[in-house]
Amino acid sequence: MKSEKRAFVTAADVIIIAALLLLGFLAYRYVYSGPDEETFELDYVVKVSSIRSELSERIAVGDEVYSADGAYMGRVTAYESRGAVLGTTGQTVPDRSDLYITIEASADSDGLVSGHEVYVERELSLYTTGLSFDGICISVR
Amino acid sequence: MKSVKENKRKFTFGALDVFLILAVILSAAGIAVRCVLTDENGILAVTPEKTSVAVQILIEGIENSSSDYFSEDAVFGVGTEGDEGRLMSVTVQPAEYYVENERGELEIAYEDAENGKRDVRCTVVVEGYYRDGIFMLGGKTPMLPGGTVRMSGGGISVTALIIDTAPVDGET
Repeated sequence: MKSEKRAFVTAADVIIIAALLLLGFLAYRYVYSGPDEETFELDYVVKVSSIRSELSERIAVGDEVYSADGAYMGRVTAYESRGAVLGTTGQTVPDRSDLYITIEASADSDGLVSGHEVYVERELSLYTTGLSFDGICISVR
Repeated sequence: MKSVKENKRKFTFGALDVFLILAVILSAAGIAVRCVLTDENGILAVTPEKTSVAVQILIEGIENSSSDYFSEDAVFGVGTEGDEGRLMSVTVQPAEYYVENERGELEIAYEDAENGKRDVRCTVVVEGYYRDGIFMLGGKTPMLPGGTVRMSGGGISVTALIIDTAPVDGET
């Protein structure tokens, strides 16, 4: 006489079910977590003081901007090059420019751009594919 | 009493076994991709072709005698990661500085030609890789106009301003 087959749950079954649930949860997070985050557009201006004039020409509208650690910091939407002026005497410095770079970025709900705080008077080390520069943030809108 | 044959469990290869084997293989593949084939940012790393690049640099206001270290074909350590570069087209000039003229404006003047300080402009040829359009010295250090790089060798070490970078002829 055949014995009746009994259904029972082993430790292996529990592990497999837990793994499947975990995979499902991770897949859900991967697919749905990104777009739900609230972001807003931010425009900030970085002043690069007394840069050599031959270097000031290496910035361009549309350049992607990154921080020294490689984080994406936005895109150049405008720039202006003015003759560098000594703060103490007001004299113009030959062959040097003050560069004002406007960058449009996407900030999260805490106001962080790729995890970096952007505020007026913040010193920033940034680069594009054509120029590496250190400057001070002088405006955030 | 049960016979030995009866006690022996039958091995059957079920769907669950296939699933487990696939899960193990996929996990191993995932770990291999994550740990071996990706860079520090988790991006799939494809080994690019090594490129020689001519980096135009400016070394400002060094001592007159120090400029003798910079000559064509001299080999310098470039950066801090053990990379080397060979100098080309070296130009040594009296160092620039600013003076106030009689109208109270600043203008460029030059140090004494015999004994004054020197500005050195030269090109150093180094090897590295392009990543996202940016030349990375030795694959690690970005070399961009406006940035600085350490130049060391033969008992001298200076900081140079990067003015320009361009692939050496025939290379991309």
